[in-house]
Amino acid sequence: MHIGTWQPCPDVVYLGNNVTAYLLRRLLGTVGVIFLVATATFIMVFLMPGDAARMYAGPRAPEETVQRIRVLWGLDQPLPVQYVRYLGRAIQGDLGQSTRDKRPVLQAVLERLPATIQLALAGLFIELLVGVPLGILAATRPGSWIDQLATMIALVGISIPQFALGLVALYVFGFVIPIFPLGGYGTPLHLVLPALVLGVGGTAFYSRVLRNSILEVTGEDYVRTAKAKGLSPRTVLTRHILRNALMPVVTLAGLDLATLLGGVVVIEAVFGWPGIGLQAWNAIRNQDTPMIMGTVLFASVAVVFLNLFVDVLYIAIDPRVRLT
Amino acid sequence: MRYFRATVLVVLLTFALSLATVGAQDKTLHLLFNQDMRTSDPHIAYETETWPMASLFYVGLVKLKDPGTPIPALAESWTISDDGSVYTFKLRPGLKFSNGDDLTTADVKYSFERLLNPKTAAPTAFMFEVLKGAKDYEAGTATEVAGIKIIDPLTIEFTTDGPVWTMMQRFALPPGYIVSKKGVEAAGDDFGRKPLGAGPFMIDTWESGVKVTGTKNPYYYQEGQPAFDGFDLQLSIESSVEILKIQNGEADIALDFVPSADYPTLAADPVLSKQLIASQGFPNTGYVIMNNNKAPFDKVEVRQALSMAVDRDRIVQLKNGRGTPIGGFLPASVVGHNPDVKAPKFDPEAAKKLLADAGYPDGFETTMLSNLFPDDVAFAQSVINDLANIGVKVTLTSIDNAQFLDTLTQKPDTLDMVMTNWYMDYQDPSDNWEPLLKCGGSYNWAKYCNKDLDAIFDKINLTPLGEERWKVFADFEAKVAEQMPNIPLIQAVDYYFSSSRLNIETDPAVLLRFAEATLK
Repeated sequence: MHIGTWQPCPDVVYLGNNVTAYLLRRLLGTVGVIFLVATATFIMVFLMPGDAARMYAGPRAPEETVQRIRVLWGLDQPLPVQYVRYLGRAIQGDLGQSTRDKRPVLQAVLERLPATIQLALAGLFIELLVGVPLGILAATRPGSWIDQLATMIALVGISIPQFALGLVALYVFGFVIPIFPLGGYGTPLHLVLPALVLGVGGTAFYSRVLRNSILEVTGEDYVRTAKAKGLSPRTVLTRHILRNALMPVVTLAGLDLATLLGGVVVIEAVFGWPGIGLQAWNAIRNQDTPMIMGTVLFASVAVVFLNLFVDVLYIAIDPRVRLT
Repeated sequence: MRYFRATVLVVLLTFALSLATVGAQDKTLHLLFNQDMRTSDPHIAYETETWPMASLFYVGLVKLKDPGTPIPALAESWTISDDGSVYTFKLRPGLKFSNGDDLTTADVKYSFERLLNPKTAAPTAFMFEVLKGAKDYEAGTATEVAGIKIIDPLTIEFTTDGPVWTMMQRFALPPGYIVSKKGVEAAGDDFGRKPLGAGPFMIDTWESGVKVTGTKNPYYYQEGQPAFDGFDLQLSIESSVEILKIQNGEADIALDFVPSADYPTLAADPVLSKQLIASQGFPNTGYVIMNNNKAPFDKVEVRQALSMAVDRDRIVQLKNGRGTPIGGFLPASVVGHNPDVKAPKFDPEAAKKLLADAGYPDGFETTMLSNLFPDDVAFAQSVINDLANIGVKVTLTSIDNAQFLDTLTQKPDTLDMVMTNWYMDYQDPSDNWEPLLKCGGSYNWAKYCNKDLDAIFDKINLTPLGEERWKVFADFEAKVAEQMPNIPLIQAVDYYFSSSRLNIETDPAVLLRFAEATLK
């Protein structure tokens, strides 16, 4: 360590003044990633065993009927032709038609989006609302009963399968003590249980990450300096420790939101929450090829763009990123 | 104190609201389903949930009183030619679709041609391909189906290629439902969610994956039906949660069957067990296919030995008691089944001896394919265990349903044994023989081909529906059982669970009778 000389920090990307160029580059990269995802999805779906037309027609339909359906859906064409057609239409925003209920895929995905956004935001809200204070409490009193309790909650929250927790929650709070509806969608009351169950796992995760991050930052020189200056422990915590310790939480929350927007399959299935996850799950079960590709593509686009957003956010909140 | 009171009030209100969901005055039929609903289009529907769904909005020319007895629906009467190939229906006068439009024989003709039109991609089109000229129409070489003739706005005539005595049963199924041409054209690809028919209800809203609602059709042909002002169908509710909702009084019935895990608890409860309804539709047989073209399955003694070695009572136990062991090619509940054709006695010693006599004293090694449905895997494991006791070593491969169907249709020659089941569309013995065991049948993966039996079948199949037909088929089943072309295991029974306030019967054609359902 050379005191007084600035040392590049290995974890941070240094942009200089070319923020615009950087963003442009990232945007181009994003388009590339989406193209790759679309291609990979296409290949994966066609590597999946089984014949979508046969699944649709059922086991007893004569082969001629199945063949007519293949022709109708363009499945009789060579793979490259199907691929080019798929990409061509996708660029124009046409993700094709569901083979199961004949509806346009994009319309079906967009219809499910509000439910998914509601659940994702509510879940993330609970995760942060409980997880962040729990992490701070645990880190500021390491080894205390609060820390041990937080560790236990984290362990339980991460270990219990969401499926089991969801069913128990529905049984207790929907049936035995009927405070909340037994699954379904429509009112704020419907949202409470799925968001809580979704939040439990995330809460555990965030509290652990934040606890470790705070403990790490607490050992840094600038924190020691702040303490030596005689600042109150509260000021040291809020101004110096948390500002830095929250960075991984911001990154994780951004990525987490992206994943949540792709749909939470298990929770959505248990609570009958009509989001994108449930739709993807049903599409896979019924081998609804265009719908599988549509939902996967949508989820990927959400991840890629929120990733970009987090990077931009980083530039905003971490001054070091802008240094030359 | 003020807050305490307010809290108590809120809790009480919530209780009251939840209890009042299905109150005494509530004349809405509350339905549930555990997935999204694919369609209500009767020409696209082909599942245990989409057929009853279609029956909410549509009705056909006839309904079924019992599996072999048609009763009038949109048609008030009909005549059948002596040779069973010309069916003439007389519609009730003044029929209307639920939007008030007249329903005439032009709509009837349109509906059947829509079913057969390749653009509809109807999975059930095969049921009416027996109509004269249907194949030409499907191939595009004819602009209409020659076998459908409008006599006048109330009279229509269907002609089949030769006698088809199961036609009346087919007319009662959703592929025989009448749709509105105007409705189809207005909705386009969205017709599945914008139904327009002459059934007991008409559509109000369809929220994908969430809810479907409808109101009573004021023009329904049957005075006083339905007994409900409307219905709502909640979608995507997990199966076990559905049971809780019905127990709670929040719903009346689910369109999916009671899950295996919940059945024992409900059946053991003295009150709740009365709310279980055994389904009458789609009777099924669970059975093991043996590739009759391959040694050692080409020997009838081997097939009989394997059948004798299987403990069918254990299979029934695996279904929590919901089923009957079978030994013939027909489900036990179907007309034409021979009650004397019983499940073979479980006798591993006799089976071993028979196998030795057939030239396999040390047994043999073979393979079995099943899909991943939990029942099928459990049945397969049980059978394999039994066969191991007589020296037959079976390797099981379980794959997902899409791959399973693909293997059956594309590579049937690679198969030795297959654990599978068959659900009948209409309850006539021919609906099991033709697809499963007739030479070249569409689900005959056993490659079973016995020309003598086929000749007998072709002859007795000319017998009109009724006692005589059931008798000749009973004799036929006994002859088939001697050959043991596959190993029949079980007729499984599925159950619905209904609320205590609902009176509903199951239907042999469309599973549930919504139009006839009443409140207790």
